[in-house]
Amino acid sequence: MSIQINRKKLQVTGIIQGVGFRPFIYRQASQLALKGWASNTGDGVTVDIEGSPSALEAFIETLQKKPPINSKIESLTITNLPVCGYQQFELRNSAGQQHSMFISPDIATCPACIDELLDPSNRRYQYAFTSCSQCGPRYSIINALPYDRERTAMHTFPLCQACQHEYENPSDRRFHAQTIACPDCGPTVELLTHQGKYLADNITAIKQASAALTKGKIIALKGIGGFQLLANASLQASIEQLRLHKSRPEKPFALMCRDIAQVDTIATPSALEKKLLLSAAAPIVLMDKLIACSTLAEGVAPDNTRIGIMLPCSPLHHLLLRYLPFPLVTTSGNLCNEPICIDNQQALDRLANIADLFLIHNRPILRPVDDSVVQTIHNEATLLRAARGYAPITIKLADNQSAQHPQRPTLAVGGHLKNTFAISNGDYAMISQHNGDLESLESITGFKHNIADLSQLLEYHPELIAHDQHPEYASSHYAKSLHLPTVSVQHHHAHLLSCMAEHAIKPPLLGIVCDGNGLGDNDTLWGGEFFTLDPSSSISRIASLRTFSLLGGAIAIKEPRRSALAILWEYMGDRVFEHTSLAPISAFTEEEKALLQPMLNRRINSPRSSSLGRLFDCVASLLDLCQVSSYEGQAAQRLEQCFAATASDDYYRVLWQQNKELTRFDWQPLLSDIIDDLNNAVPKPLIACKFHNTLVEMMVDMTHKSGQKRVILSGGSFQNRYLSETLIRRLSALDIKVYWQQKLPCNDGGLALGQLLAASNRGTHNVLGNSR
Amino acid sequence: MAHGGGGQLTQSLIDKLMLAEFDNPALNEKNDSAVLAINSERLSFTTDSYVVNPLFFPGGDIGKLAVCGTLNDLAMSGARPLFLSCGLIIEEGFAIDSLQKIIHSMSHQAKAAGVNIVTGDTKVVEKGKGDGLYINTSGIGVLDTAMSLSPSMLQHDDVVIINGDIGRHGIAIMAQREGFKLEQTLESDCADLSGLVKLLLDSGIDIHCMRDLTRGGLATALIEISTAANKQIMLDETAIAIADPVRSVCEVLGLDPYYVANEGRFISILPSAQAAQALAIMHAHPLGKQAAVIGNVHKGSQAMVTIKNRIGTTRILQLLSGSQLPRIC
Ligand SMILES: [Fe+3]
Ligand SMILES: [Mg+2]
Ligand SMILES: [Zn+2]
Ligand SMILES: [Zn+2]
Repeated sequence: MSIQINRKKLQVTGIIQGVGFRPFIYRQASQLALKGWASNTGDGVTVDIEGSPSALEAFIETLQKKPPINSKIESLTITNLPVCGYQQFELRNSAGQQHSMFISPDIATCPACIDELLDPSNRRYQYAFTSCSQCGPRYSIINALPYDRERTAMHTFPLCQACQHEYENPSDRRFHAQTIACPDCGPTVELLTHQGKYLADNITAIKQASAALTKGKIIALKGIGGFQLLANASLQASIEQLRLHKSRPEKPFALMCRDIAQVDTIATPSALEKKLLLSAAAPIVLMDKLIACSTLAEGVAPDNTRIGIMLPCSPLHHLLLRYLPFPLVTTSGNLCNEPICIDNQQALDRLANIADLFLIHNRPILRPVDDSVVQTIHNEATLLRAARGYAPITIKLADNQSAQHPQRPTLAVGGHLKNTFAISNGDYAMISQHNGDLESLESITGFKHNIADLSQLLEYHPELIAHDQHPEYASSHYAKSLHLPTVSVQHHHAHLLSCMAEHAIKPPLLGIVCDGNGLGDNDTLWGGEFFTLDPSSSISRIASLRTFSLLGGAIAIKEPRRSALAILWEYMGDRVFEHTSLAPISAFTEEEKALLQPMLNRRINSPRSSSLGRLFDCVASLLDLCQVSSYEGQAAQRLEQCFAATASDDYYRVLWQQNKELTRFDWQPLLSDIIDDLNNAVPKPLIACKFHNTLVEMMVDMTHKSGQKRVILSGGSFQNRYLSETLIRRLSALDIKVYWQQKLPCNDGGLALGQLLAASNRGTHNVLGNSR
Repeated sequence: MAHGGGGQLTQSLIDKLMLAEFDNPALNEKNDSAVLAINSERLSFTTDSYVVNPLFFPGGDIGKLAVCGTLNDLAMSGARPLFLSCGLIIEEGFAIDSLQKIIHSMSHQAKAAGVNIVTGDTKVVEKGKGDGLYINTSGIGVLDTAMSLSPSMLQHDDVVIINGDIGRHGIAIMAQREGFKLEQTLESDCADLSGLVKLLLDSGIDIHCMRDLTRGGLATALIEISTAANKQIMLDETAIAIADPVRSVCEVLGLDPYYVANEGRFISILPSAQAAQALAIMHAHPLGKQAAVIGNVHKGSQAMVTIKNRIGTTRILQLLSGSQLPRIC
């Protein structure tokens, strides 16, 4: 009686390269006495195995139920093949042409590697490039796919004998770990002065850098995806110096803490927030600051009740922070509006005026990947900036978007600020890392470079380009320069479709899209919009905010007092200038008012807007919380944070203007109620809270009116946690299903995915927007 | 309209309509004046229509503007202005004393420049069909030197020199039209530049290109030059003078002064080795007291105008597409 042997071929796709997947396969196969081979292919891993039916079944079950922790299996296809009598199980060299839509993001140092790092008896004791098959840099060091050492930034570091042995030993944690390195063969750290003079290397360099931070020096550190600027968060002078040289007067800084215990001395993280801090992505997590926190210098996050904190994400960070009793202010190593530096010389050139010392190393960073930012909304992790640890993000497009209409390879170039771009291939969309604001030549150059880079990595050639309807976005300029067919997509449609794609849901539904501004029809700037999508996916704008003037265009966005003046003028006319007791009016000089009055009356350089972001500005100005802002979103943040301790369910009147096709939310009753409250000395936190509640009621009311049972929330205004959470709670209680952006930012960082979808929908109907 | 005009819309109108239909070598150069070789002489020929509102403004009126504007266009081509024409389109009922004042200022300005207004035409249109008065002037000048001024002459390392601060005309006109009450009155910079330009040309400085900064301002003029030359021009924000009243009006109104019109400002692009000599000549002339090097021409062949700010980051100046809508979300 012979034992039955079967042979199966498994094709696995997803994030399975660079996460210890093949070593895992090897171990499972060996344990189950299966024979055959496994190999990385361009789009995943192929496994060809023979063995007993029960062993094969066990193998497949483990693969499906307990894959390596950082892997993400997208698809698994199994075919039966005739038995060919393999004698052993082996890992074969990578092969394959077709390129994947999955690339592993960078992975923070795993606990096992941290243990080795701190163990004096280990040969990697205090070695800053310790990693294993489960952790280490990935996306930031990959030169080409499939992921193997010779195609990474590690290819210039030949393995020593000891490392080679570990690499080849199936029972070792570093079996087939492509980033394997040790003090004998791997990269090294150096400390330089800001003039580039060598001071020390390796652990001595790290210890000297720690000592310098203690004394208040600013360090430029070469991290995983780029340089970071570090300063002692307990020294006000250090923070002031950093603010001065970075031209960043007030915007809160993020912190890096050495461990959770240190985080607990600064903030009050929830269980989920702690989990996110400790996750393999190791992002900056926004959380509530401890009210009586004495460890931080005042200037770290002035006037903020929330704070962004991250934990060390690499051995170098662990070693640097290990013995520091204070957390570090950690900010991107760039100049204002420029991309993050990734190259040693470039950093020395650009950051010499900011940093005193440079803690660098000789492992090249192949692409800029900034730190990611996450907050929790309704106890769900919600990305605010997708970069290190998350990017590139792959999202499966719902069937109706691609499968039945195979679409042309499309590049969506994203927005102007917080840019990301996206590409589509077959069933998948891949969204790039955060490219920053496209306001400077340097960042536009970086944006173009990153598009070329990802195209090369994936051997991707787009045939169709999707861009925002705003012709003056740097990304739109770029789209038109490519001489390919283009599709122009309305900003808020893109926000809406982005959220739909993320949750793979189909119409009918209601979309509430609120943000600062995006170009709508007739040269008006939208930003407080309600759309319905019918089952045929056609979008109707059913409601919006009543419009007002953006006095002076872009500058109105930097000066909340301008929104207040413009909105009050809409219903008070020139009498508004007599109300000198109102904070926004007294915030202008007489000379300014002499110009603003004719400006309002003659609508000089005053585009119309229905933006909710600007309505937030208006109220923040009325409450005198912010008249001129020094960073984006400052007014709205102050308005949200000022009432943290004041809970109230009260709200102001919600009234609509019924126009022909469009219902307009009328902010006039709301504002006169607020002014009454101000006159009656109602506490400002209570007014701010009632304002938020009014917006929630307004959105609930419009949901009722629309008759829809499913609601999508997108646009930057939903970064406001109170607004989002209160609305989600209210709608859920009414049995309405609410979807908000989680995997992608709800701000303009999520636009590109929506643009892709819009392009594919329109492409199939052969209606190309402003095609060339 | 301080921003207005001279942007992408005007560009594409000219390109699609005029150039396609009229198509000839002199026009295709796309300069403000056409340079025409007649026998052994090289003549410069230009025309411009003036539709400014208001007709009278601090620092000038439509008449002064109509003469200076055309003289400047001739001067920018390197020509010595010789003759002007004057075409008037008058709205029925236009006040005769206003007309007198305007004609007087035309004649005054022409005499000062040593040119004669040698031909003209007058039409009266029905009330309501014109804004009081439109003026068209054409001009003929002669090129005394063999020098050819054009964007194609630009060289890596050339410098860009301006003769003064920017934005006065556009803001003065707007303030008058919209009834702004300014702390200090702001006068238009409207002036005839041909005298100053002649000094520069006679000095033997190897000027590569000149342009007056009218509609669309400094930015638009340089973008056009950079596009025609296929070269990057890099400006230094700290070197560009802007008078306080211009700056503060621009700030309140949200206008970018680099796009605001001037009527007595020009840039000359010339080798950096001759910058000091050019500046010395300009500083000695009433219209060049504030002259300064504001930028230079970069190597490579990327058509682009960039401006570096105080902290060292660089912004790209783009042609404006109609109205300026904010890009910040
Ligand atoms: Fe937006
Ligand atoms: Mg002209
Ligand atoms: Zn590890
Ligand atoms: Zn080694």
